Amino acid sequence: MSKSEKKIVLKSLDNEAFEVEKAVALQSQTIWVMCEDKCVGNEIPLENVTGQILAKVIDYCKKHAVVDGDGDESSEELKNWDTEFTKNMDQSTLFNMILAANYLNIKSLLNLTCQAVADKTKTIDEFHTFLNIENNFTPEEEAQICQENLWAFDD
Amino acid sequence: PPPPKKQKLMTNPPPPSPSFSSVPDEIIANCLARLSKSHYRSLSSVSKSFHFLLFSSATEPHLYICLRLPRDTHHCWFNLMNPDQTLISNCGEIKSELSLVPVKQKLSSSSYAYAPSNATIVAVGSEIYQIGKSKEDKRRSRAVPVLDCRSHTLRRAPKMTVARKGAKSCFVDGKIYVIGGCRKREEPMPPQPQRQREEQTQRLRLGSYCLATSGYGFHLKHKVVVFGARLYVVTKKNKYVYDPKERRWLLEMGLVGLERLVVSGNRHWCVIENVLFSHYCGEFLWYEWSRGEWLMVEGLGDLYTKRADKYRTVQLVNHGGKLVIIWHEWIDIVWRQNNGFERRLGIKGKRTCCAVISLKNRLSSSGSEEVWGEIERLNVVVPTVPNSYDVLSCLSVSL
Repeated sequence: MSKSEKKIVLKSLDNEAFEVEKAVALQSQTIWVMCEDKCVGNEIPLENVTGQILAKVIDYCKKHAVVDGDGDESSEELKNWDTEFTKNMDQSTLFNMILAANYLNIKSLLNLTCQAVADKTKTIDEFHTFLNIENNFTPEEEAQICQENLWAFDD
Repeated sequence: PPPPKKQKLMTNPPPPSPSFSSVPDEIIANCLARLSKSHYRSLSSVSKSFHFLLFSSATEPHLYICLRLPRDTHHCWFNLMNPDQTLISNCGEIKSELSLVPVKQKLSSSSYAYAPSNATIVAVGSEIYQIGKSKEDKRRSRAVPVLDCRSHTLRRAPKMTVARKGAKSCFVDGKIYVIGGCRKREEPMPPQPQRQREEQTQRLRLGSYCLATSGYGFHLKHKVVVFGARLYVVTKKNKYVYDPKERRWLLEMGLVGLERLVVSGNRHWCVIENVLFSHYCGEFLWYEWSRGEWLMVEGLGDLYTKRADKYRTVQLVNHGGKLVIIWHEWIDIVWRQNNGFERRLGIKGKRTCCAVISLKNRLSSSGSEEVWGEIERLNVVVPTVPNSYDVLSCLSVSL
């Protein structure tokens, strides 16, 4: 296999190009299908992902690429890396990572970023501020929900 | 490794700060499902959409049945559910009816999915993976079509390296294990118990899942049972055990009586919380691993008496920890004659029945362990399709 066949170029929404190992890029189910169908050349345009986010996604995929032979070297280390990876992401980056992981169909990354959102938000106020969601209940509705919740979700 | 080569061509202004509401619902549900249920109470008052999602995001087992309809070469997926669209589950009413509701697939199933028989398919989360072709198919295939049960769309998982038909597959510890079903010349030697050989694994990236393929050749009639996170391959002569952590095959010398799984006429079994259940000579049995004995499941007397004399068990399924039994019954059809007398003709009608059984472990008076079943429901499935169909496979998927 020639060197060019092993590499693949990913092009972001804002036309940033990243040359990566094929094994790294194929963790994305979306890219995998594109390559399998041979509907693209060596350069894959990713219309929903900005360069800034794509760089992070590639970082993740590089770390998680299956090493030839055995991919299980220190899952503990990988886990710590994952935690560090999402720890200092701001809200906007985290959302964009989620959307990118969803678009690129990288399940482990989607799970990781969703877990990060869950970890960062525990109270109603955190949801309202961090996740930028407005409370669209009327006071009456809210009171009713609270009433209903008295019995719901009891373990 | 060197950093990726960046060729910066132009930069757009940063996009505006997104709101969580711009994220698709299924992803919000994914995030919410990771929160402790103790937070649900307060979170349901965050916003209306959250309230809706929280109440709908709890996963429940759904029963998927694959049928081959008469005069139809293709197979169809159905859900076995109540007419009010809730599946048989904890909250289902015991007396309500059950019927087969067609799964509306968004892609023509004939394009690359084949009629899947039980052992070749495996449920992973909300998806059904089909490993190669069925035993009955003429040709082998490397393809792994996947039915996403949330969207009812088909996608393709990476192909296997070897074409297979009638392979056995199971899901253990985040990986799908595929055993057997390839051509003789592609099969390495059977496991050598004296020299413990490393399993050959071909690992393909599959989202967060790996396909770990055992290259060992097993006869088509082998069974694969997962118990205590180990794989047991049962053939007529031998039992092999594979420990995914140690990655090696061993010849299993114990487990007397497990061979019954490969005896003809004993095609139906399932494992529920490390207990192996099987249907043998009309009775439902469980396997006592430590002593190697098959014992009766107690408390199923009603099922035996209500079952028609002529019946055939077609499926045993682990349905969210409950035992689902599906069987066909042949009953006499009674014709009313013109003069008012009922006359029984020799024509047999077939119908499908379904029982849901919750299970409990108990200690008998003598101190030995017993498994008790409580019949939660016992239904004749309301016919919605011509009843001469074949049940190809059935499994429980959490959605």
